Amino acid sequence: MARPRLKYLSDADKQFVHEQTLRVLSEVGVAYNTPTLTTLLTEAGATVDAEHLTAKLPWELIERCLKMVPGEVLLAGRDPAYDCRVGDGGMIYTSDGAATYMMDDLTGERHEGTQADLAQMMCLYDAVPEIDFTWATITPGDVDPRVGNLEMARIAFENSRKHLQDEVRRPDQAPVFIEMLEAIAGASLKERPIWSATNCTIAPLQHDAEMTEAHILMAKAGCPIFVLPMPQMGTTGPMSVLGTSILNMAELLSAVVLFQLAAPGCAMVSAVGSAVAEMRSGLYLSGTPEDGLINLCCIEMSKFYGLRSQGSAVSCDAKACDLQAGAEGMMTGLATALAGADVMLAFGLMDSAQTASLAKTVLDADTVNAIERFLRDDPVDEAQALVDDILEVGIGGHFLARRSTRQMYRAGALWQPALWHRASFEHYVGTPLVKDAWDRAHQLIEGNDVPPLPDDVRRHISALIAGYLRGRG
Amino acid sequence: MARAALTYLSEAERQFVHEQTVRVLADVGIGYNTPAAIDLLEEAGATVDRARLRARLPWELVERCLRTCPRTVRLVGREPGNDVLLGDGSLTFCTDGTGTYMYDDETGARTEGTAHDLREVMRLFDALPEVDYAWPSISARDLDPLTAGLEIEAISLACFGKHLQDEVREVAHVKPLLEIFEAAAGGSLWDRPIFSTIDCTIAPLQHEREMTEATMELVKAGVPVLILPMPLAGTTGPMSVLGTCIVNMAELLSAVVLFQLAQPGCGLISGVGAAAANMRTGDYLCGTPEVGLINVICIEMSRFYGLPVTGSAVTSDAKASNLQAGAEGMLTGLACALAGADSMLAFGLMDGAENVSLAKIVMDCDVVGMIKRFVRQEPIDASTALAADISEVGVGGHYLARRSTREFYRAGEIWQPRVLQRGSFEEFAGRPLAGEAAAQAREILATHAVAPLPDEVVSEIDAVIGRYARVVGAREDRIKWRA
Repeated sequence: MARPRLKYLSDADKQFVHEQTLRVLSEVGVAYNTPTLTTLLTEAGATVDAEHLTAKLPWELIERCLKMVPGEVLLAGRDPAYDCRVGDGGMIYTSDGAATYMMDDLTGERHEGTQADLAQMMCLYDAVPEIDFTWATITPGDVDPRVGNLEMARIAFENSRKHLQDEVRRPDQAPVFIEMLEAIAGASLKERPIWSATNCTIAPLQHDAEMTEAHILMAKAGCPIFVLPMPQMGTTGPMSVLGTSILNMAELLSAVVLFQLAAPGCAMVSAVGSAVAEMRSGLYLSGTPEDGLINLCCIEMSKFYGLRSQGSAVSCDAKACDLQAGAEGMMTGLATALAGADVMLAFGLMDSAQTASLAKTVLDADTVNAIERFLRDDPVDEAQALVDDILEVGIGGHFLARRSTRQMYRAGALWQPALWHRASFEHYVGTPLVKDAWDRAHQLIEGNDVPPLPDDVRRHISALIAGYLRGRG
Repeated sequence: MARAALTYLSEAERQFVHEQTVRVLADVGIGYNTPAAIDLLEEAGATVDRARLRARLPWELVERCLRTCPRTVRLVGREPGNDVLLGDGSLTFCTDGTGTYMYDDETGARTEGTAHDLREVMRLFDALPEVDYAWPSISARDLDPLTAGLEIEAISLACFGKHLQDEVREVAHVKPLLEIFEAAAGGSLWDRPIFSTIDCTIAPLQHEREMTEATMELVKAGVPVLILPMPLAGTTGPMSVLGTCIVNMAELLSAVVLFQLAQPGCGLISGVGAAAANMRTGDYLCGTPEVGLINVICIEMSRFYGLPVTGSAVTSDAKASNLQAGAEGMLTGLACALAGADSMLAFGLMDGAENVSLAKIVMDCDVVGMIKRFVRQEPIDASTALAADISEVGVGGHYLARRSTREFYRAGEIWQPRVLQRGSFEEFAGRPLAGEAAAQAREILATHAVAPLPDEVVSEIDAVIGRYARVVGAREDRIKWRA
C-alpha cells in the first residue's frame, strides 16, 4: 500500500528539540498559578516556588505523567451515532473557533455574532458529515458574559447532535457544566463524555489559574482535555519556527504534568495552537507557511511523546472565500494531514479566526475531502496498475469502454467534489462559487432536523443557568 | 538541517512500477509515426514494425539511452542573470500554458487571446521574480496561422528576457526558429540554450509525427527538451492513478530513447503532463487530488531514472480566482515540491488551463512564495531554537524587544506576501483580493521595461519571418509581432 508520507525532523532533530524543551521546563519552568497544585507538584518531585506559583519540571516527572495518558480518546456525541474516537487510526475533523463576527458571504459584510448565528452554525455543523465534532464557533455578543460558555453549550447541544469542545473559564462554573452535560448525555461524563475542554495555556510558559482549576474539575468528571498552547512567533513566542515549536511543546508537557497529577489517567490530546504574529499589528496569523511548519514540527514531536495530536488547519487570514483562503487552508491542511495528526481543527473560519462563514464551511468540506483523497492508502499492485488494460488498448486506443474504467470510477478512483466547479466555463457564468456555497449551506440548515432536547432537560438547563446567575449576584 | 519532504512509493513499489513500464514498452511498444525514428530505433536494437511505424523497446536500449541523459539541464536566459539549472537540487518555477482565453477577474468575462494579450502576459512574467522561465501562456488568435508559430516566439523573445520554452509543431518551423533563437542568443544554442522545446506525446503510447521530427532536429542544434506525456485517467489513460502513471512513464521513456538516439547526450527533462478526465464531459482536469498523486509518483519515478523533472501544479479547474483555485493550486503545488520536483509549471491559468488571468498570475506568485517557504531547508540547532531567548524571556514575558526577533524577521523568518491580505478586516473592506492583484498587474505593466532585443536581432527576426511568409504564401502586411 502506498500513501504520501511526510517527514520534517530526523531522529537526531527530534532528540535536539526534546532536549531543548526539557531544558526550558527544568531551568525556567512554568507558572502554574494554581495554589491547589502546589502540594501535588512538590510531592511529585517538581522544584516549586510556592510564592510565585512556578515550578521547574524534571524529565522523570514528565515521563511518568506521559505514561499515564491514554492512547485512545472517546468523544461521545449527544447522539451516540455521532461518537468518534481520537487515535483509532483515522483522522477526524472538528470545526474551528471562536469567532467574534459572522460573515455575509454574498455582500462581504460582517456583523457581531449573535445567539442566532451560533445556532445556525451549529445546525450546519450537524448537517455536514465531514465534521466529526464541534467547537462552539462563535462567541455571541448578545448573551450575558457571566454565563457565556454555559449558554454557548446550551445552544450548541440544542442545534447539534455531535460532541462539543469548549472552555470553562471559572472553577465555580464546572459543577454547573457537569450537571448540565450529564443531563444532556443522560449518563455520567465518564461513561458518555459528550464535552471536552480546550485548555489554552498563556504564552510564554504560563497557565491560567481559573481555567486550569475549572478544567481539572472537568477532567475528574471524565471530560477529555485538549491542551492548546498558543505562542505567537514574534510576540509571545521567539521569532523562529523551531523556537516557537519548542515553547509550544514545553507548555504542552507542563499541562500534561498538571492534569495527570490532578486527575491521573485523564484523556489528553496535544492540540497545536501556536501561530505567527503579524508584526505590524500584532494580530494573529493562522494561514502562513510558518503555521504549516509549526504544525508539522509539533505533531511530529507529539508523536515522539506518544501523544495524540490535533493540528490547526484549513483556517486562513483571508477576508473572503477567495484564492488566498483556498491556498492557505490547503497548505496548513495538507501539512497537518501529512504529518499524521489524529485530529484536524478546520471548517468555517476566516480572517484569522475572527469571522465565521457559512459558505466557507461547506467549501471546506471539499478541501478536507481532497486532502483525504490525496492521503488515501492505495495498493500498488496489478489491480491498480491496470497493465492488462494498457496492453489491450495498446497504441492509440482509448480507455472509455473498458470495464475497469466503469468499475474503478464508480469505486471512487476520481474524487468528486460537492461544490467545486468542474464543468464548462459557460455552465457557471453568473454563478460565483461562493453563491453556490451559500445556497448549499442554507439548504443544509433548512433541511436539517436536529431533534430538540427533551423538555425536562431544557428546563433543567435553564434552571441551572438561572441558579448560577443568582449565585453570582 | 530539516526540509519537509514526501515519499509515496517504497523501493519495492518503485521496482514494480518500473517493471510494468518496461513491460508496456517491450510488449506493446510505441507508435512513433515517423520513418526517421524507425531507422534509428532499428539500428539501436528495437523491434520495429516499419509498416505501422512502431517499435518495441527492450530495457537494455532504454537503460543505455538513460545513461546518456545529462543529470542537469541548463536553461539559459536571454538576458544575463536569468539562467536556470534543473537538477541541481533547487526548485524553480515556470509558467503554464497554453490558455485560449484571457479572463478578467474583476468582471468575470473572458475574451479570446490576442497578440496584445501575449505581450502583456510575457511582460508581466518578465517583471515577476517568482517566474524563473516561461511558456508563452496564451494563444494569440489574431495572428495569421501561417506565421503564428514564428511570431509567437518572436513576441515572447521581445517581451521576456528569461528562458523561453514552447512547442515547435511543424518541421518547417525548425530552421527559421533556430535562426531567430541563435540571433537572440548571439550564437549557437549549444553554448546558450535560450530556448527549450516541449515535446507532447499522444496518449496512449504514440508520438506525433511533425512535432517529433521537429524535436529530433532541434536537439541536434542544442535545444533541451521537456517531454510532456498527457494521458488522462479515464479516457486516454486507464482509470487509476497508478495505471495512468505507467502510461506517462512509458511515453516518457520512449521519447528518451528516440531523442538520445537522435542526439546522444541532449538535455531532456521529464515533464509530468498526465492528468484526469472529467468523465461527464471528457474535459481535462488539472486540479484534482489524483493529479497531485500522479505528479508525486511520476516525479519519484523520474528521479528513479535520474532525470530532471517538471511537475504540473498551481493550476486549477476553477472558473475564477476563488477558494477552489487556491486550494487546488496549493494541493498540486505542494505535492510537486514535497516530492522533489526540480521545477513546476505554475502561474495564472484556471478552468483546466483554458483561461489566463493577469490577477491570478500575481496571486500565484504568493502561492509559489508560500510553497518555497514551506520546503526551505532550515537548520535544527541552537541558532534557530533560540533557547537562550526563551530562557531569558522566561515566564510571562514577550519577545518583541529581542534582538533575535528583529534579526530573524529581517532575514525572512516570516514569509511576506506581495498581495495576500493580512491585517484587519476593516483595512481590506471593499478591496477584494482579485481586484488588488489585478491592480498590481496593471501597475507592473505600466512601469516595467523589458530589456530590448538589439536592433540587429530585431532586423534578423524580421528578415527570417519575412522569408518564411513568402515561402508559405502569407501576407507580409499581416505580420504583427512588432506591433
